[in-house]
Order: sequence, then structure tokens, then C-alpha cells
Amino acid sequence: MRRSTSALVTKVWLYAVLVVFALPVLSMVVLSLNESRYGTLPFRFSLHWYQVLRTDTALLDALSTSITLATEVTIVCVVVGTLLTFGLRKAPIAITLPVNGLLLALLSVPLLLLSAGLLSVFDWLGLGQSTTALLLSSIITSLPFVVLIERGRLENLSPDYAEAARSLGAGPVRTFLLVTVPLMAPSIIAGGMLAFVICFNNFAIQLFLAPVGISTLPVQIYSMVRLGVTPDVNALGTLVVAGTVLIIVVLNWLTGNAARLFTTTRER
Amino acid sequence: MATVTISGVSKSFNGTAALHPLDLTVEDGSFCCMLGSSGSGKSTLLRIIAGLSDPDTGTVRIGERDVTRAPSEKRRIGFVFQNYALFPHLSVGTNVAFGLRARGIGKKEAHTRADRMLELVGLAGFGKRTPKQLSGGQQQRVALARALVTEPDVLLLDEPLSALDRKIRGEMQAELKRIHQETGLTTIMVTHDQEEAMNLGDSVLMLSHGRVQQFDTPETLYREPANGFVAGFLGAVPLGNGIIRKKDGGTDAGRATDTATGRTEIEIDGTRLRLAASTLTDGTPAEAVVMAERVALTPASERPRNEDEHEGTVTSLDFYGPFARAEARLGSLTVPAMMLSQHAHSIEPEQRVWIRIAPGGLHAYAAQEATRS
Repeated sequence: MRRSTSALVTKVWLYAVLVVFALPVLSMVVLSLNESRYGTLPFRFSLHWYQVLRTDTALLDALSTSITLATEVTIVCVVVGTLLTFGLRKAPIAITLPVNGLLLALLSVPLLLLSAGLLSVFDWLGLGQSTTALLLSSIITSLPFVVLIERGRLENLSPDYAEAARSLGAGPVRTFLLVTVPLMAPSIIAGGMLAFVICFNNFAIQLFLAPVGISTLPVQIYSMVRLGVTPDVNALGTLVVAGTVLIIVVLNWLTGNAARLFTTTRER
Repeated sequence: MATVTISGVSKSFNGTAALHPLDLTVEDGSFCCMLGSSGSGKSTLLRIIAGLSDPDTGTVRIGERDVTRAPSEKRRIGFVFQNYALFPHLSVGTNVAFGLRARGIGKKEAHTRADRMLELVGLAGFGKRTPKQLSGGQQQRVALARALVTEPDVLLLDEPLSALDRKIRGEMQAELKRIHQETGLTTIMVTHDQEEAMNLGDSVLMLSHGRVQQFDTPETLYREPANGFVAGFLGAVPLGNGIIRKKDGGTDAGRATDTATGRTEIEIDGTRLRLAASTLTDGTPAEAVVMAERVALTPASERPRNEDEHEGTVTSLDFYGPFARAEARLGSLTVPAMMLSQHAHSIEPEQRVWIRIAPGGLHAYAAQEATRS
């Protein structure tokens, strides 16, 4: 009996946590579909704010800037991060120790401080607030996540597969492309997704380093909120959430289990 | 022609020697088993032959070719891993065709040959499946097919059967034997299972702590274990420490019949036991080991004691299905005896028995050698 009671308590707790997590997103979706500008009841269904959004060029431009930036950063991070992961595996400790320390520092230093520091560095380099500076800074902050996830997978990957390929007559390049990379693919995809999200959300970096006149989505929303938020931001937020869910569903469909991408279970 | 010749090969990891310099020749077409416990260096040696690990010293030759510095993919070997290492992202057919494709053979022909090889290992029609859909035994067959399809000069097997359950293991042993006989391929297999090594090997290389303990045919290994370690690995049980007593017929109460052969005995706590042929000299301290399956117990009530028997008392009797194992007290010694269960019905604890240790069932090694494990 005691067991079923504690199971019930655990279950209630789980649902309570899930509701708290989901509430902000749900309220955003609801408000985007409510006719009222100030979120007042009664709820009256309307797609009005989605129509407003269609004409809000500042917000749409910011969205397109953010997606472009995140895509570019993701591509660079996946290529550089993958090569870095493989390089670090075979490198002597004199190289791995400082590189690991640097990656760890990038993960743990508060982003606001990092952004301020990066701004000073780019000022010295004569880049200041520019597209290049924004791109490089975004890459720097996203890269550690790619390496972190891919390395977890690589460490758990049995060296037998590559050795089997070699014993069967495949050279190092063929082995890498036909065996190692496909086996690493889940973590490469997961690393890329994480890099995209981290870069997309990186408010501090974007605020400090974006050139004048160019706003990314987080920065644009921030400046709008200061003047009073309009529900078309909720509409945009809803679309972004829908897009994210769609990506997860597609990944789930492609790999069988998207959550598994982020875990590092040992290969059978 | 693919005789594998290893000369002076050694290897150490972080200053610890895994292999002391050793020489080994595996004749063309023969089946060599490398036997030893974990850490004996047997897998290290196999990986050096495969080119998956570089030796610190020495050379490896496959046939006429010196492959010491050649990478694995240039050695024309087939390697089967303990956990099969089938590529999980490729179908069974593509797995088997992998080696052919790597050698530049067209997709169509590679898959035709892969299918034929799958047929040979009894997995016709499995080509479209993924490795995960197969049982352990089937995966092992695929791994074998993948290694054989490229027609290598040497087949290397790293504990290929240890992950399988007992019944499948027996089937796969028969399968390996059949494939070896059909292909005539020089085969080197690493194992820690002495029965497997004895069953499959034309020759057995016994390794311990990176040194060769003995390299012989299975039968010689069993009849004349070179040292206490080999005897112990083959199941011999330590009996006790004693002193070698050489005895020739002349001193033995004038019995002329023994003069020609002479005989060696070991004296342990006042009990004298006859040994298998031994090179140890009179008076040497030695440790005796006995093979339980070569000890016979006869109830004293059945018949008078023969001259080559000793009197003792049964202390325990345990059944293991088809086999039974008894222990008998002989003076201060405990002598184990292994017999078929059907022969154990007349034996019971506390019974007085005649103990006969067959010649060749008792070996003695100089004391310090016997303790080297």
C-alpha cells in the first residue's frame, strides 16, 4: 500500500512540474489567439495578431537575421567541432589540457562578461560591432557544446568498428567517411541542433556585438518590450515553438528517438 | 603460401612488458590456438599480427612478405572480433560486401559474392537485415563471412566464441572446423578456453605474462605439460611439495625388471608416489600436481590392493551431471579423483579405497617453477 501511495505522489509531482514548465508556452499560444490586446478575458478566438505579424517588417527582418546567423554558425561549428573532437582524441595531453580548459571556460564564464570581453577584443582588432564580430563571437560560444556532445559519443564508440574496417582493407579516409562519421551522425546532428539553439538565443552576444541597424530576434523583442509588448510577438513566439516541435518530430521520425541523440549510451 | 612467421616480437605498454621477445611459426594451412588467461599477451600478439598494434621490436611475416610496418588494410588478413564489430548502420549484405568494395570491386559483383558467402555460413537470404535483428550466433557467422569473403591469406580470430552460450559455442566450433578444412586457410585463434583450444587447434601456443610457456600439439600439451603453469591451466591440481627420489632397479631389493627403465618418485610427507617421466634429478625439491581424471578409486572391499595402488579414505563426493568428483585422504595428502557419474555409485564418503594414479597423471616441477603463475 505504501508503495502505491508514494507512486501516486511521484506521479502528481511529475505532472505539477510539467504544467509549470509548459505554462509560459501555453499562455503565449493562448494570448496570441486572443482578440484582446492586453490579454484580458473573456477569451475570443482571433487570428488578428498573426495578420499584424505579417506586416511587422522589423520583427520579420529580425527573425530572418537570426535564422541566417544561426545557420551559418551551425555549419561552421559542426565542421570545426567535429574535426576538433577527432583531433583531441589522438592529441598529446600538452594540447588537450589547454584546449579542454578553454572550452570549459567558455561554458562557465557568464555570457555578459564574455560579451563585454569579446567587444573589447574586437575593438582592438578594429572590427568593433560588425557582422564579422557577431559571427565569430557566436561561433565561439556555440562551439563548446558541439565538442561536448560529440566527444561523449566518440568516447563511447568502440574502436573495434574502425579497426574492423581497416582489417577489411579500407584506408583511413574510407574508414572515417564510411564507418566513423555515420556512427557519429546522431551526435553530430544533436551538436548541430544545440549550436543552432544556443546561437539563436544568445541575447548578450547579439546585444553587444551586432552592428548598428541590424537587430536579431531576441534584441528586437527586447527593444519592443521596453515600449510595451504587442500580441504579435506572442504570435511569432508561437510560430517559433511550432517550428521547433516540427524539427523534433522530423528528427524522431528519422532516427527513431530524438532524445537518444543527446545521450551517450554505449554501442552494442 | 601463407606461413605466419614472427621473430623477436615484443611489446610493452607504459613501461610494462605485455610481450617478451618471442618467436613463432604458424605453418601454412594450419590452425593455431593461442591459449592463456587475460593479460597473458595473447590478444596483443594477435593484434600485432593483424597490424592493429605495432610491435616494439621484431618482425612479422605473412608468407614471403614482411608486413611489420604495413598498415592493417595492406596485410590481406581477415579479423573476427570478440563482439563481432558488425557495422550497425549497414545491412548484413553491405557488411559482408564492405571488404570487397574497399578493394575496388563493383557494387553488383561485391553483393553477389557477399550473398554467396552468406550462403556458405548458412545465412542465405539474410542480406537485407540489419545486424541488430540477428542472434549472437548469427552475428558471429556474418562476422566470419565478412572476414572470409575477401579471400585473405590468414584468418585471425579474437575470442570469437566467448560471447556465445554453451550450446551455440559447440555448433560454432564445428562450423569453424568445417570452414578451416574447406578453405585450408592459415588460422590463428585467441582463446582462454582450454577445451576450445584443444578441440580446434592443430597446435596450441600457451602464453602467460607475455611469455611462451609451451608450443605443441594439443595431445603433447596434455601428456607432457612443460611446467606447472601449463599443467595447472589444463586442470591439474597441486598436491604438495616434496623431494624427487630417483630409483633404479639395482637398489630396489634386487628386482631386475626395473633396472632398464628406472623410475622417478616424489616423496611428500613420507608418501612416495610414482611420477611421469621427469628430468629432475634425485633430491630436488619439487611441487607435484595431479590430474584428477587420471586418478582411479576402487573400494577396498572389492579386491586386494594392487602393487601400484595406495590405501586411502574417501572424504567427499560431489556430482556434476555426467561427472563426479571425489577427494580421498592419502596419508597427509588430499588426492582428487574425477570419474563418470555412472562409475561413482560404489564410492561413498568415509570408505576405505585403493587409490591408483595413472602414470602420466602425476607431474612434478622444480619448486620455484611450479609457483610461477
